[in-house]
Amino acid sequence: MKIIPDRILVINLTTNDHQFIDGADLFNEWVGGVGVGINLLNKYVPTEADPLGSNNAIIFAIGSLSTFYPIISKTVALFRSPYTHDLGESYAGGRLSLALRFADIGALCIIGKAEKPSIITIINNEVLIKPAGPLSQMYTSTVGRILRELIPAQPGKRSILRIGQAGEKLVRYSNIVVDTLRHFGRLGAGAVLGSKNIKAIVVSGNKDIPLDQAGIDRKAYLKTYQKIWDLCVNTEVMKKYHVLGTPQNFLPLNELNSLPTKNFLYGKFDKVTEISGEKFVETYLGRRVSCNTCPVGCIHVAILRERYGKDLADIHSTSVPYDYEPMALLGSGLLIGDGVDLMKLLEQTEKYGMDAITTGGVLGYLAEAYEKGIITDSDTGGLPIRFGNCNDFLEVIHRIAQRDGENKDLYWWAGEGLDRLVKQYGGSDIALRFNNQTPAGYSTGPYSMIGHAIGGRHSHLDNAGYSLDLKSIGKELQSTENMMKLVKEEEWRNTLNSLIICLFARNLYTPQLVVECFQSLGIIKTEKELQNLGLRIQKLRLATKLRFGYNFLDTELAIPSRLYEMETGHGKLSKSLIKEHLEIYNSILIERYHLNL
Amino acid sequence: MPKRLRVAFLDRCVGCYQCVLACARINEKVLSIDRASIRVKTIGGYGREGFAVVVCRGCLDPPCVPVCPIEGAIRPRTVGGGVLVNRSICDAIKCSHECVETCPIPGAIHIDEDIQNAIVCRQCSICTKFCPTGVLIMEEPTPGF
Repeated sequence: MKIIPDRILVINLTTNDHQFIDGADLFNEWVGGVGVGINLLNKYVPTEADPLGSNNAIIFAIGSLSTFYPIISKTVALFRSPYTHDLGESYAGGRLSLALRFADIGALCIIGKAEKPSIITIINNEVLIKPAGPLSQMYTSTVGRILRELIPAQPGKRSILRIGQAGEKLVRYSNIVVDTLRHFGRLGAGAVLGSKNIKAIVVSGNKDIPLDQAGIDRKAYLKTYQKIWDLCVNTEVMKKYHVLGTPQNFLPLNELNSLPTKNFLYGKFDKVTEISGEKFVETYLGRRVSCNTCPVGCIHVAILRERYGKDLADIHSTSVPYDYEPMALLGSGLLIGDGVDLMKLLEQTEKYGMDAITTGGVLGYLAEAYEKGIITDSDTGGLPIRFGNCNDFLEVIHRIAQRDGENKDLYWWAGEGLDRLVKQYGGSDIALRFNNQTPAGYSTGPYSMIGHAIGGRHSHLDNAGYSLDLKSIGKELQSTENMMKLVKEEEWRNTLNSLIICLFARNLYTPQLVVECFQSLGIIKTEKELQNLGLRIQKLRLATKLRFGYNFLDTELAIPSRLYEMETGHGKLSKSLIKEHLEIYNSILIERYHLNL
Repeated sequence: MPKRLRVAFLDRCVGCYQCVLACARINEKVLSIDRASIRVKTIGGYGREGFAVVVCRGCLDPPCVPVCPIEGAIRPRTVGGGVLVNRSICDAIKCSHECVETCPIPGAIHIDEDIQNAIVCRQCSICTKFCPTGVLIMEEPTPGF
């Protein structure tokens, strides 16, 4: 097996066949991950593709360095998003990149639509489509358990992707659960698989890559590996991720008036200590887990104990993975100030396979709309939807995941997302969204929100505007300079996402270190080449958005009115400030990316 | 006194596979899971119930040795427990994998189909150096029964 992946597996569900095609040129030019994936997306998804139609495709890709070094553990999924209708780009850890690497598959493209509910199994070169009918409507955890028995594999080389009921019901922000604890979230990858009649994908491989093959300087490789290991384990670079994990953000962001609270109205939550990283580690943490090849162990798994009957011992327990952004949107965002209640909400989204951040945004809108009388009991079917009431929200999540296309009630529209809810019921001013996407848990100031507005997939992960906010507190904002910082950050992240390195390690994998990683494997890449790769990918991502009809000049999309009412770490935001920054961005689109707007 | 590997604190395992990859990378000069002498597997799903580490326990009187039909293919380490496989003699095509069948720990010895050799830990300690949570330790053997 070669260092740089050179095989692409294309599965056509409509014709029920598959082929391995040569991807060497694509991987050599674009490294892997989003670089390779965006090219395949443009090849396989026509401009007129319906995101939930058979002419959409979903592409999974790893990178040239996957599995070779620590924390290079992610896989990207690319598709036309049924939620934003443009670029669907999502990342998951778990074991998928390892399984694809050892099956010698650099990218997996799934096109067409299966006639009946199906499972795809890929074991090295063997590809099978199996019936999945009996797995319909099962929870994501149950599907995982059954597939582990159905398709045995050697330890450590199998990855199981599956959707829940939300994906089957085409909830537009349903996700794909990867290996029980990780997800392709946010942009509706679950609905794309559901629309293709795919309940699950199992990947397993056991091929080897010799380290004494021509080109590899094995001594240098081991030395570079050791250096990265030491940085991961013996320095402070990754420490915050393995101690409290991402929920360490709660207390400092609350202190800075930057914690989204009550549907983004406020920046502080009076019960923040009850849902903080400190509280969870001390009270609920059951274990920590890693993605493959990553020694950090950032995945924090809590134990949720619940009483199901009247007897003292009528207790059952569930393991619930937790991360900051889902906790913020389902916690402070909904005024849920109890750790057990928060775990119940996380678990509810988990078992139905719904994106927790977007679900939190939809629930926040519904609770405020109910409070203000925009929706009433006649809309909700008699169910109250109240801030702070866990049982109300558990029931709403259940009803969204079971929504009925014949009876288009509130829950059906809620499964379509914020834009459609607003169109149906009104209340646009209370639905904070950027191209339909709920911002993640950072009410830090203008750059977090602008970052969501301009990001390729409208995610906090595109450019980390929150970080710029935190660095800008108390300083005069240099609008042009700061917009260029966001733009360049997104470009470098494209490079990291083509490699495909977990973004938690973005401060560890400097451009110089990435060059060294390649060099040890006998591949020459310069820093300039890597920077330019990020720029080239950004051009392709933006062109793809444009092709799918995204309107970069539509300020209504970019500036929701809640933005000017919410409290942030920089106080309330002014319209003129946001407008000024977005105008600068539009000139960057033309001058830097030569985009024909 | 030479030491042997012990899975001392299994509950700490985070399932990163660093021990597995280190064993294959350094001892076998290959990026691989199959060629490693140590394996990590999930119990009841990825991380929900935890992990099991499958590796040779370094017996002082290893039952895999006397059952081997090929003279010199596998022998006990002189001191410290465990076994050493002579790869130039071991030939999995010429036997019925008696060592694998006899070991009471499923998977502690396995046959690599590419090189047709028994793969078993040689107590080199590399894996302990790449365990971020201290699951694996080297210790002096003490007799059991």
